[in-house]
Amino acid sequence: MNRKSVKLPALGLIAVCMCFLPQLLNNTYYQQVLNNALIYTIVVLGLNFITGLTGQMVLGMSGVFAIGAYVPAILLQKFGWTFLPCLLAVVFSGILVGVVIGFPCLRLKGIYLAICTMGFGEIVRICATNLDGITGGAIGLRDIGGIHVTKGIVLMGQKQVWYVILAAFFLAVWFASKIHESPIGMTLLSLKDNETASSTLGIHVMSQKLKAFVMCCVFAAIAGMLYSASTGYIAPTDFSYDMSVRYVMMLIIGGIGTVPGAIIGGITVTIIPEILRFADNYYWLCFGAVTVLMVVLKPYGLYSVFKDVEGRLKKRKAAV
Amino acid sequence: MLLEIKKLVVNYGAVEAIREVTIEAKEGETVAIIGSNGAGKSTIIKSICGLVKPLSGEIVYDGNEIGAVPAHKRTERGIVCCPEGRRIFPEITVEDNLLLGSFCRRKKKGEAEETMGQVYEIFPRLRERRRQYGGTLSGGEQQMLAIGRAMMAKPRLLLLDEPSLGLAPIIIDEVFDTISRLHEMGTTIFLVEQNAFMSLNNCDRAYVLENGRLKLSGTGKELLLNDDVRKAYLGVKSDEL
Repeated sequence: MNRKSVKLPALGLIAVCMCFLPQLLNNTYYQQVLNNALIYTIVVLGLNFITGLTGQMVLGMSGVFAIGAYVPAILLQKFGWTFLPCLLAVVFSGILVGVVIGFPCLRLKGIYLAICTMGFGEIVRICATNLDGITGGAIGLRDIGGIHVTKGIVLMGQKQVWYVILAAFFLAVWFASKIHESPIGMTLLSLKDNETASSTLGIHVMSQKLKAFVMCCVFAAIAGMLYSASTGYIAPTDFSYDMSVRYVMMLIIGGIGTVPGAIIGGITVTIIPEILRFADNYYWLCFGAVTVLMVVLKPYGLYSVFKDVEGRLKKRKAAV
Repeated sequence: MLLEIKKLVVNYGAVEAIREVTIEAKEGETVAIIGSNGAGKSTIIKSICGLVKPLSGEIVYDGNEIGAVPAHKRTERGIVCCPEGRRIFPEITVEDNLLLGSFCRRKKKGEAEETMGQVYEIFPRLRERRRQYGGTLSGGEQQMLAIGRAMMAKPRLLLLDEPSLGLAPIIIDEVFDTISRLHEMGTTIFLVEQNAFMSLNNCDRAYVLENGRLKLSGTGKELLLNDDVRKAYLGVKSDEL
């Protein structure tokens, strides 16, 4: 059997299994962990455009995520907007943030870009904490859960929102893989390899970087919206700086620059903390050590481990 | 005249790299600039393709002053640079490297495949290795890839920055064979080299650059016979002159 004929049914099987997953869990906490896994994966898939493909270190994703969470929450609570207009508003704010932040910041490189975007993330968090009238301040916003399809039809609770998240997740994966295969993906990759060479080929470095960053922001903003719909409660502490770092860690642990890597990283790094609960305070110690080991031993992440195994199996097959 | 550089001055901070250099290239000509390390050769190339902003002076391409045109627009107009040190993309395949070369002509469908056929005809080795990653090629192959990639943009004016850098003599011969083939195909070539002998043998006209100033100019043959050039760049001892 060739690879393609395996891939499609396998994907279908995974999709069906994921649809039935909520039936196996009767604990909303675990359901929320699962929802978060997919939501964070969407952010990581977006981050992969700018950090994985284009090679620009961005540490402010929690800021965009926060904007994506607050905008629909406020629109829903204060003006009673339903899902679709909220989604449009979120996509628009993602694009706006991407352009407004990206245009000045993307002129910077490496650590300077990281610091600059980190600053943006913090500014958003501090604004959310202090603009009491709009964001509810440190207490946050409550009763914003569910997907309000129309005024009457509302998908409430983690389990029902899961299906919307699942759909968004598959759309995000599909879109990200399309970008990776397309000339756009290749152009972005060329910027990571060598910006000077790219500009001699007629590639406008700035506009390409901006394109990647805007896509990244739209992904993060949509993920933020799903987050607020799923938890029903948001507060500034949900969007702290260590979330931004965690997204980059997810990308590195999963496999930077690849779609499967982003998925593996997003899901494992969200779920592993729950499994490692027993380690209590030592959890971060273990996790930090694992990350350092990963970067040193397997710089291309967990996905490269799978690929190594696959390559070895193939070799063995060929030898037989 | 396809390219005219008039009284170009380029500074890097307080350091003067190019001082009032005037150079021209006719359509279809191969023009070489020779000079030692730090003479300012690459700076000239970089100012033609827009990677460096000159302090003063004019760069006239095809009758238009292009000083204010950004680098990516210059490529669209046919000024294509093959940068020093090859600068191929190591993490993507040879074929994708070539396809990126046709980025500025992406709106013309089918052209890329056709040009790629021509590139493979000139460099059969690249066809053999088209599925390999750019970084796995040897130095000579990478240089061929860099030239091939520049060809994908269909240049009217091809700027070659040190194409012989770090290559074995036999490969250098191959590279210069390619340059003369491109010349026969009608491309205007602007060549910057430390390898004075090869470039003087393979060009129509040449300029000698020293400390950012033009020292000499003439046809390749003339300069090959010039005593100063022979002493300074070709390593001929003065008693052999």
